[in-house]
Amino acid sequence: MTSAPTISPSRSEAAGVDKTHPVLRFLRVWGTILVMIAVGIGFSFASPYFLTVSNFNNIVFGMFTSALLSMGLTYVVAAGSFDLSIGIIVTTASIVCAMCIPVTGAPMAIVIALLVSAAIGLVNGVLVTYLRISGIVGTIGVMFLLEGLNQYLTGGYQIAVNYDENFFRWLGQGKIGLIAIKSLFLVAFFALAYVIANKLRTGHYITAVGDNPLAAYYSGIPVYRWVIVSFVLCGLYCGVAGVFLASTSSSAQPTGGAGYLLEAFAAVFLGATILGKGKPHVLGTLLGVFFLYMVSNGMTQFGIDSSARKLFNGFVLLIAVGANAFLNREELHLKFI
Amino acid sequence: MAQTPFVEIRDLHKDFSGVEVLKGIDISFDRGEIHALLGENGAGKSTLIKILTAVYTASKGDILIDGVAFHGHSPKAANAAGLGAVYQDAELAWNMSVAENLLLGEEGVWINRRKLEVKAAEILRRISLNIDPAARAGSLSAAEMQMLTLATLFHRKFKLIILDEPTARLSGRESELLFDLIRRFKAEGLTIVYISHRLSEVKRLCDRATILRDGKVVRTLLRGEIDEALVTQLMVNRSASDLEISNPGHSKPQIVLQAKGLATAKLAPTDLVLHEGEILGITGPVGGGMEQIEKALTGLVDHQGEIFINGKLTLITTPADALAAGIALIPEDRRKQALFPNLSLAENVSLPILDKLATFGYVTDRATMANGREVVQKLSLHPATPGTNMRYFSGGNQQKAVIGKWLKRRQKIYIFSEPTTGVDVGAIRQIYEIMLDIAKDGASIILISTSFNELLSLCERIIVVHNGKVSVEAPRSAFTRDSLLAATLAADTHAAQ
Repeated sequence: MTSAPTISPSRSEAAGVDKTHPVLRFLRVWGTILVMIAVGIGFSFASPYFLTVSNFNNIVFGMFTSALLSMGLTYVVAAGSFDLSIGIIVTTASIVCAMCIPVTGAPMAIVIALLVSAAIGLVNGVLVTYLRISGIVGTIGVMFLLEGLNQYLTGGYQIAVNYDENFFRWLGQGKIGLIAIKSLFLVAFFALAYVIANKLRTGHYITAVGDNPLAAYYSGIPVYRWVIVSFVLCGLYCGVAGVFLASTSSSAQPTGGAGYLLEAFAAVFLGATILGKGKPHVLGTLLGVFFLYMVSNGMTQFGIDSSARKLFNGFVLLIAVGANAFLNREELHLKFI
Repeated sequence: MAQTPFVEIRDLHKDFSGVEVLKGIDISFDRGEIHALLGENGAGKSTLIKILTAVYTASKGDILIDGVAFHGHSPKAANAAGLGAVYQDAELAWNMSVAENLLLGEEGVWINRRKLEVKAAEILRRISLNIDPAARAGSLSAAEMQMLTLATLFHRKFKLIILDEPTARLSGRESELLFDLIRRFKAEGLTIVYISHRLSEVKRLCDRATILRDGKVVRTLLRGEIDEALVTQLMVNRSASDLEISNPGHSKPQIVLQAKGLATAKLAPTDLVLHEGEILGITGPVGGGMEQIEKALTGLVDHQGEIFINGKLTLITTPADALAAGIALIPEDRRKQALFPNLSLAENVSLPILDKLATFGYVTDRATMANGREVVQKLSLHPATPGTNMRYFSGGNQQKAVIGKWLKRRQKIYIFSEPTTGVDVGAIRQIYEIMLDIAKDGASIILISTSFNELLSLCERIIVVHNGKVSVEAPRSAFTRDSLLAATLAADTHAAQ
């Protein structure tokens, strides 16, 4: 190589130099986490039962479904789309699983439920790519379709899982010592989601596609394929949530997963503000879900009304996301989706 | 050189709905060559590039790569053949690191960020580019982003890279760094097609320069032959009298707009005066600061200094302020910045005057259509159907519609930015006539343009802005085509030394 002097644009000329105050920069990265810790400390002082192993177990056990949905949704949002069918996929998976158990046995039923969930994700992905339907509209359409189908399949009644299904019930109800099996699975699924997002090409390309699809296209990355993969991953995670939901309650409810949808969106966007990334990431999502459930748990202990809990969640989400948008100010904000 | 050129273009023609833009181009690019493309706006440079990168398909003629005919129909096909153009910002993922951007598309199944960074550092070292591979791409300066994009093309083994006005947004020092990088690419055997209005850069950097005029190659100059007088002479089309139109002088002594110490981040404090009925031309190299004046006066960029409208100090910080002050902008990128493609012509031109068309807040279709018909008639828009959606109109007619948007509001000051780019020849004259009519009716015009023809035909006074400063200001009569071109180029030479 030539021994030419290296080209080094001086930093002072760089337009992108961060001129914000160091305090603001610190808040951008750690602000949300500080609020979470502060709230946690507040609860611990107020209630002797809050900071105990069993209560921690309670929180983690309770957040399982929401956490899986939110992690799945994280992929789709990272790829630059939306999935409003996640709640209904959970319901569908639990119904399919509960209906198949008497016929195929539990292990096969779980496989079928997961295949169905992945297939729904695939349909969602194809809708928003090849069929050019926006993520919001396409997945709402799928949501209605599945809702109708679920109602037809169940006739509006819950489907019970037989009490002999020990293995199946162990998944959602079993314990090793103090720790619920479900919590261990949550850790495992988080680890898997984290590896996919951060260590595998899959997550790398999903992020790239969401960040700048044109750049990805010019780099020879099959953009549509990775958007579809994000939807399939999301479907799978929702499917797992559905299976565990059926296991925990030994039944499938015709509208079991519907309530989790908005919670998942709140967690993903709250999570995006964690560590100042400004983009959804799996760890942030998990912490976001944990925070929502921790607050809910703490407030229940004081007998605070659920209306107050919802008010609090609403404020936290708006303040966290709003403050983050303010700290990462764009020059001109003209995107309203 | 006796060897076959890397890319050879033979008798290339291109027409857009009957208007011939390229009229038989013959040009060749060698390996390891920096080849400049020079020409006035509308000479055919951008069309040629778009054909070379397969955005457009030629009407007639061949492109040979290594002597073999190339028939790509998409930018991807051109990329696969090793041809690439650098667009501003479009090719970086801002939230990913430098290394991730550089190696995007060739990672293994497992992502090892440290390994990516090591590999990226190696590539950056090879081209002696000192950028931190772990830095977020969005945090880089404009120059670094541009160089990173270049490095990406280099790494992907592109053999011909087209740079369109690459220094437009760079400072002098940053430009030097870019030139170093370009020379290094040349040493690696890459072909660089370099497009710039800044002749001093071309003189220092390029091995050959091809001058285009009216869709034809006028001449290809070798390094030693590139000189201002010759290039000026070749670029200027002396026989172009088809657009001859002149401003008889509608200017009155009354001052409509006065700016004192108008300054932005990229514009040194500037004083500006605009008279009633006057057409004031502002020109200079792209990115040299002329567009800053436009943006400051229309509230699109933060600025300092005082703006007086009709002698009254007026605060303009948003486009709405500008509108209220009587300033209308007819922007260059009309499709993106001025029109609503899926609304009808009538709806488009009625938007700024909806309050006038409304009766008790209710706007009838009849009122908008009547207004649309009026505009169609006044500006002889074609097709004369105000109900047609805007996107079905040609470039020239879209431009007329943008003007039509403001006419009814009786704005006092019109700022035109490159009003005839993408406008076919027939419509250009009509647009000039409309502009002269506006001036005749007593409104004032600021014309921001890089077309000397346009400036000399329409303006009564011309300002040349370069490196964020006004370098020349003189009445129209003080300029000839040659001296105006020379003023722009001279300002450039002067600043670069």
